[in-house]
Amino acid sequence: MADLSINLAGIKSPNPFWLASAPPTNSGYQVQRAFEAGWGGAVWKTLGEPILNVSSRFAAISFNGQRVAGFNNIELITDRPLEVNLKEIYETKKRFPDRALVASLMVEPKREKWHEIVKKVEAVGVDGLELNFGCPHGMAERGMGSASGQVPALVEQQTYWVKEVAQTPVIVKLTPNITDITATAEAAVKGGADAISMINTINSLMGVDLDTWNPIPHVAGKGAHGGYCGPAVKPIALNMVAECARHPRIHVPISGMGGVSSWKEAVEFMLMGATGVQVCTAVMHHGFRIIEDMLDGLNHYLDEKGIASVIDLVGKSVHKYSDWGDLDLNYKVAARIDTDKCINCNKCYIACEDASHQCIDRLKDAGGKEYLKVREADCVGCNLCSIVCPVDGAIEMVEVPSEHPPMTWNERQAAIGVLASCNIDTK
Amino acid sequence: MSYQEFLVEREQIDYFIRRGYLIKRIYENLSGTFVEFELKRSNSSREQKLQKTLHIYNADARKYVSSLLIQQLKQTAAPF
Ligand SMILES: Cc1cc2nc3c(=O)[nH]c(=O)nc-3n(C[C@H](O)[C@H](O)[C@H](O)COP(=O)(O)O)c2cc1C
Ligand code: SF4
Ligand code: SF4
Repeated sequence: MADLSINLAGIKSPNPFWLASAPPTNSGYQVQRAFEAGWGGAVWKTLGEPILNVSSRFAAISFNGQRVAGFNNIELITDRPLEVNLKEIYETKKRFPDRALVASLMVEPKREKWHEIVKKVEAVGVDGLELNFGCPHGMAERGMGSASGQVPALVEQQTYWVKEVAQTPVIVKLTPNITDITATAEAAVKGGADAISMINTINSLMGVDLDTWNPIPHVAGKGAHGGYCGPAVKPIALNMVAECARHPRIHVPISGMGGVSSWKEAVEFMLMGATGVQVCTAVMHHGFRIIEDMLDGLNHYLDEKGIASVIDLVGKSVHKYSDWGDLDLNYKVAARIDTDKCINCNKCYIACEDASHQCIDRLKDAGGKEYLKVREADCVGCNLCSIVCPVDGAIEMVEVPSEHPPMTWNERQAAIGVLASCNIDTK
Repeated sequence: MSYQEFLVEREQIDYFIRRGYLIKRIYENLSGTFVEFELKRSNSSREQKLQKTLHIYNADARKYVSSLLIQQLKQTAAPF
């Protein structure tokens, strides 16, 4: 069995799976049951001045039979007084000293407010702090959460204030509701953050009821934008983690989250630079026990790959994530249909004919039986046919050898530029 | 068919390359890529420059001519 333990900026946990700050970490009762189930760490439901919530608060998108493909909420931070939370945090840490217990914090962007809460929370023995600059609704209207998190100067300033007094590692949790997350990540680093975490939820409106015309979810017929998370947001979160991981001035560890539902997404996040992951929606959907499959799956994967420690995964794919201009224009793949596996549903033919490059032919064999064949020379290798094909392995994308060495767009443009300057020189 | 278009344009490009032309300039606009070829010929009395321009429409042919340009720059330290 591999070593699953991680150390994120000095915060140690026996495995890389932490609960994200959200309803599953609302109370000591819940977090202790999660730790009993095997979770390596938990970020407590955000602490601050206790708020008032509305009813209802959640909505989800079910897509073609998959329930909770995306999840949305208009819930705010904790509605319980700080002292109540701190007592339970203290008890939880005492019972589970080997787990990572991180307190998520959100207060008004004022130096004394940050100093006050940091001192009170650290006094009960948390392992670290996570600054919630991400909550997109409610708190943002009051200048906190993503309203702070969208302005790099405010991120830097508030991180700095926290670092003035913090004794434990400080993680800055970033909002995805920004065009370039590396701008705020860099601001957090400049402010002295020991680590960053991402993503919080994405601004969303889940739907409109076709009968009542109410927004979904609604509160007495009215709605407000919420935060989107769950499996649907994983690609957005993964890109943001990868963009930060490959950024030369963002050199702090990353705690990744957004759509982690199994050990597989955890591995993806770690390969793209996360030191560990946090999970919310999958636990809200299936409960704490999913940790068992996550640990088993991760262990098997590492054993199969012959990897001794999960930490060895961190960042291994980052160098493979680049800019479009650095991709090889001479690399080519083409679709190949395996007629033995194909069930002749024609999905690929329609997709290529209507939405790609019209290069799948419908042919008949000697016995008059219909079959499909890709004209490889015309195929641009877009993947669409293999994406829509319902039969695993019926369409394979095969590499077509190139007659030229690799050539990126940037290299091409540089070569054209060299010509231009040579021509100028001769005039 | 796009592959057929590619073959036609590749042949036009290769035609000049086979005759010793070098790519002198490439410029691009909304209509595609324009490739200026040049062949320098010198006889005893004077140097003669032959110039031809090809308009390339096909995307693969535009990749192809770019690869040839990179090859040319590698082979000829001072192309012109
Ligand atoms: C109902 C709900 C409440 C949340 N509350 C908080 C919160 O108080 N503080 C916080 O930092 N993030 C909060 N989040 C965001 C999660 O911590 C997490 O960043 C997000 O859900 C993405 O992870 P997931 O796709 O695994 O759910 C909340 C999410 C949900 C669904
Ligand atoms: S990969 Fe794209 S272009 Fe090629 S056959 Fe499939 S759909 Fe058509
Ligand atoms: S989509 Fe797949 S199964 Fe359907 S015709 Fe194409 S190759 Fe066959």
